[in-house]
Amino acid sequence: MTGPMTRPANLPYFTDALRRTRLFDVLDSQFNKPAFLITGQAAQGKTTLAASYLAEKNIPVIWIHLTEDDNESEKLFDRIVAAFRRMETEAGILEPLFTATAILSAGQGPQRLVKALTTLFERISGPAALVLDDLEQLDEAGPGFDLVFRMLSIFNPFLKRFVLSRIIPEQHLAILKMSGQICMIENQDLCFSLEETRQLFSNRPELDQTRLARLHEITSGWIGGLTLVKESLSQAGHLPDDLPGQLSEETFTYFSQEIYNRLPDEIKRFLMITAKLDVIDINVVQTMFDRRTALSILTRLEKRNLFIQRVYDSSGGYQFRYHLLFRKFLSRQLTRTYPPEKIQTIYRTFARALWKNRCHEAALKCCDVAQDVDQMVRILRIKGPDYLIRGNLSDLEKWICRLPENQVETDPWLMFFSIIPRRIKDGRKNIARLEKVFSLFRRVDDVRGMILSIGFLIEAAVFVRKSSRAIDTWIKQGEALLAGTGKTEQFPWARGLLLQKIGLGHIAGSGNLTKGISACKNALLLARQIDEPGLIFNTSITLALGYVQAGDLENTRKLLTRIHQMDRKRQTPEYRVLRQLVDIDLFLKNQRFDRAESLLDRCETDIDTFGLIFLYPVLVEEKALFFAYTGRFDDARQMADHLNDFSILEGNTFYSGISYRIRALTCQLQDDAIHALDHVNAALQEFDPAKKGDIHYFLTRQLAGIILLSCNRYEQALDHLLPAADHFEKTGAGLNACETLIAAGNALWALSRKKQAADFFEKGFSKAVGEGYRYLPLIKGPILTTALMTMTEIDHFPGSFNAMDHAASMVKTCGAGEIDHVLTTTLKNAGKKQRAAMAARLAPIYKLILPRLHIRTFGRFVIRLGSQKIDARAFEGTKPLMLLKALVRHGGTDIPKEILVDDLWPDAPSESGEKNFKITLHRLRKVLEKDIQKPFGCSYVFQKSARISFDMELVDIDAKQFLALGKMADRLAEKDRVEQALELYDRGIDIYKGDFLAEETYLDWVERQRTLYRTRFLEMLSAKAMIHENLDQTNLAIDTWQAALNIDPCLESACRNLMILYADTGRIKKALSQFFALTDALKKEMDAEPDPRTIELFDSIRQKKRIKGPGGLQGP
Amino acid sequence: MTRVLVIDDEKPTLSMFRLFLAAYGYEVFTAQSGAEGLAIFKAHHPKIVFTDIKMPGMDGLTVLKEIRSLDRAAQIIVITGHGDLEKAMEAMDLDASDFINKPVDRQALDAALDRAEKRRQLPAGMRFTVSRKTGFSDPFFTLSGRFTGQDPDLLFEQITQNKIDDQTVILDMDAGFSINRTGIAGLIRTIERLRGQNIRVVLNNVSCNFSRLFKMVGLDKLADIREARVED
Repeated sequence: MTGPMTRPANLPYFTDALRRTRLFDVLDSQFNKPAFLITGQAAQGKTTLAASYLAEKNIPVIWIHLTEDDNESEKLFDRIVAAFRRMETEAGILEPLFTATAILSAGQGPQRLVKALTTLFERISGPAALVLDDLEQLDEAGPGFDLVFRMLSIFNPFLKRFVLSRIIPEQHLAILKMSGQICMIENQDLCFSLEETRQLFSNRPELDQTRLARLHEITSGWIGGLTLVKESLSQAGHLPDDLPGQLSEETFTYFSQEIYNRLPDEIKRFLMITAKLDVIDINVVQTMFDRRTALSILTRLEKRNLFIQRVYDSSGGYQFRYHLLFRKFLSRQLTRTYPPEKIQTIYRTFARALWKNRCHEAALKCCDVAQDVDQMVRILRIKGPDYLIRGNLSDLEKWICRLPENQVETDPWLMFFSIIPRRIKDGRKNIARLEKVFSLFRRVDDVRGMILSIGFLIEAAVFVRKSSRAIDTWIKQGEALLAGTGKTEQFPWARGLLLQKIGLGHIAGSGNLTKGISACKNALLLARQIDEPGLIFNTSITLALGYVQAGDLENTRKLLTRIHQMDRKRQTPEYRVLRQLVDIDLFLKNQRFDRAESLLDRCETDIDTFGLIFLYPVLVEEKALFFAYTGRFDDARQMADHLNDFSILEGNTFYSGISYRIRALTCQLQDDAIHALDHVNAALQEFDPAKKGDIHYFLTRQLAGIILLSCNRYEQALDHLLPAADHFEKTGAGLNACETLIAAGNALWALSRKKQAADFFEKGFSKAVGEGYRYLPLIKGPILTTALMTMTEIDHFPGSFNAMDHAASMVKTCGAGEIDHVLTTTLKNAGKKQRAAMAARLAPIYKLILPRLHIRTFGRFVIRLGSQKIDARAFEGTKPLMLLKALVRHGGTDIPKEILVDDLWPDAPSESGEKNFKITLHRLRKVLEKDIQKPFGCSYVFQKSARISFDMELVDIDAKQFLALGKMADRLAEKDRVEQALELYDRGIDIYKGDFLAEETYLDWVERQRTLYRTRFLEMLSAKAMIHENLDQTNLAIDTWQAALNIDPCLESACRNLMILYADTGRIKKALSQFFALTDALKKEMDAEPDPRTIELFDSIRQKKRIKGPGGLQGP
Repeated sequence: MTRVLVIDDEKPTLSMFRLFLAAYGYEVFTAQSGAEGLAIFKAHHPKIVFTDIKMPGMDGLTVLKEIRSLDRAAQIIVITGHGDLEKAMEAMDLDASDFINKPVDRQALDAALDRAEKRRQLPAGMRFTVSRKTGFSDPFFTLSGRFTGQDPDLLFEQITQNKIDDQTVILDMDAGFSINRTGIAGLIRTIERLRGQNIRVVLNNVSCNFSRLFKMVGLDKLADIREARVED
């Protein structure tokens, strides 16, 4: 590089210039063009970009800083010629360069200079660059400016011409743009992205993501601003808390010297006056300036890149916005220049204009500057509810805080608006304040105010755990208000909100779920009518809580699906946590304990962080249930005790009842019926008998019935179970109804009321199938087994109950041991004559509890029964295992005996082969089925009509799963459902632990199958890698191709893809060495050369390396 | 925002207190041990401290002593096991502001906080005083400051200064009133002496926690105890 590369005097010193890879790529991609225009505001990194880029290009550079003198084209011409001469001298070119005068005699006007420059440029025989920096120094209408752009049009394949400018030379640009001969980088392109900001501060680990994002936001990626921060950091050692305040002095000096002082007074005045506006809307500014003048100033400023940006709105209109730091500077200029009264007058005018233009937020800001409290109050009274509806409470709080306290405390609306944003933080205080607001509204007969304040009063009472009595009183007041407005169309949002809060009060406060659900349904109806997403969301969550408390999982599930699709931005913490609790309950009822546990932790943190006391007892209850269902009984009891403590502290017996119920459940799950009964009776006493409609009362009666059933006290059990079942059926509490019906069926059966019992069982099981319940938390093994067995006795099973799969999953949730015991005892007790028929009836249940036989064929041959590995030595000799392998090899079903005999004893005469087979099959089954009870007639391997099969209901083979997953993944990939396809490919790939029956190296009947599986595995890897490539998941794609090459080093397609991926990410060396590895492998394995396509790829990458210079590009 | 520190070795109890006290509008700090509690006290100077008595390591009484030595004005409320009279007495002897039994009920918590808030406004280490208030149908005496074994005579003399026969006297305990073990014994003696003169005693405005303590020692058999009202 030649020529001076000095920095402008005022550019902050840039110690760690960051490689602008993103912009280098843009320049690289257009390096075939002759002209490059880089425009941007001051200190935006134009010079640094050009300098660092050209330095990396390693070509000779002529760098000229333009000055006002260069307005004269001859002077500019002379400077260029002189710079060329200097460059040639430094390059050791001895051929004398013509003098400027000599060239000037060659023609007339600007054309002669162009001609001369064309000749001059022709002397260049290799890549070089000419940089003309600070174009804004030249007069746009002057000959110097004209020469610069004429120079850009001169044809020369080697000389790249860079123009760096703060202004956008629109007039001259059009022709170059049309010709496609110019590469442009603009102000917005130059701004640092968040990632670049992160890289800039990579040596400051104390700056976390949040602070970096804040820095980026403050500076809008303006490099000058970021550099000032960096500089400040290195001087102060830490980031000042008040940014940009702490940087003001430096930025202000910069702004005033570089920009402001050079502007005409008219523009200075405009800038100052408009400084405090967030966006400059011409319709608003015209109240202070002539519209045309204002527009002309703004357009000029924009053109000159003077820290202003045009922002378009959705309707295609536009406004302007100053850079944040520049605005701060201008604000200070404003306060220095004008007296406070004058500024207030200006902003009072702006506020009115903005309010007229329906920009209330901006109007409020102007009112604030103007200290126009009356106008602020007027706006807030009108627009306050909008803030509530949109959930924009922090802004509402901000504005209310700006008002005098005495005014807020005497105006019901202002006071109301001051409470709502702090309704969680201020806790108990809110009750008294909301009561005061309510009475103020009542005094002036403001119905909407009354509706809203009573609604939030109910909510506040729930939040701070007021007694049920207090909550009920306010609910009644709310209901009375609704009754008064119900027939009108007035205040639909307020009425919807009150209904939602009444629902919340009933569900989370007084525990009256029926009323709560009903109120929420009405609220939802209203919210949908007026299409209010925030209200729909909060009501849905409250309703979901009601459903889940009522055990209505079907409706919960449907509602949650809808909630998950709603806009997350509208979720306030309390309703987000509420949703988590609903999810937890659902997970517990579906045995998804891992999910429940992780969500419990998150939920606890959120409740603590946001002080959501009203949700705390629900959390403790869910935690207790989680512990009870996962066998952590001591923890469950501790949680129950804690719930009782909470109940006492709160002065509400409700949770004390739940606490007793949890203790009863814990004892019942531990087969301690005596203590379970004590606790369940205590729980029944706690739940107010007057509230017989309460779900918790019937849940407790249900548990009492089940405990009594386990004590064989059938009549007493039915006393609880029958009314509970009736209640659950009426209220649609499906899961509870299933449990209760099945338990009641058991009791009825034991009392020999068989027909009734059959009806109960059928109803219970049908409901379980219909609603998809696979886990009934209260129905333990013996109850379920008894139910299933009794069904068989009365020919209801499996005849009318055809959902075997469903029953299987239900049985599996119980312990196999106890079911085995029940079945065996039943069979033993049956009479000799009935035994065979009984065994046949029980066989399907018995099969459900048998351990599955897992056969692993990939990598190493392993067989397991359930979780128990079977040692190969358990078989007498190797033949039983070989038989098993042959069965797997031939697909596992309907395999003619002769094929297996031929595989195992190829040379034996058929008779002895047959005999050997029989003995071997017997040995195999002896090991596999040693614990199977013969009377039930179940077997892992069976023979039917000289064909051998696995019972696939009892056997898992990895090879079969592998193929099935691959097939499913292929189908999904074809349908472009790539994420799901990837998941299945991953699962399939994970199964392939190595070659099929790898230990059998010499068996022909295994070898072919092995090759097929390996090929399929490589296909799956390739498909997966391609998906990763398409999703731009480069590293995953590389890993996957590499995995394919580890299996087959000669797989050329994998190698080519890897080479491309490495080259694309700048790892040229790796790309090339991949090729060499392939070449070696092909030579060694097949004595072959790589495919021409691979060689061509290798050459092109090698070429790229040469272009980039020694070492090539180094990617990540 | 008034700062409150809660010290208890049980995490769920801390969570519960934190939520309740935050809902009441306090800035809440929690500590799972006495040592941690002391460190937090030194760093944040909370005005009100709840400490469990039974904790592994430094127990609640030690915490009470340490905090008292650091700050005489801090309101320290000791949480004792249900019916643990001895520990409650020990706490009162160490100048605890109040005590509450586990499991803590709402009334006890509210009463303790209400008392603590009022006592915060008063100077620390007030000596016992008794003053007669006029305008009541029965003789009405307000007791204030710390009542110890040395004060019963003063109380008796003040009450009997004027002739009271066959009447009821009301002893009103204001927020500044506190008592220790010897004080309770002295109060019992004083009431017995008054009963000997046919004077019935009403202990009025008794914080609900003190009321429980008095009932535990049998004071309710000698005098009518009327609890202070705390607004819900």
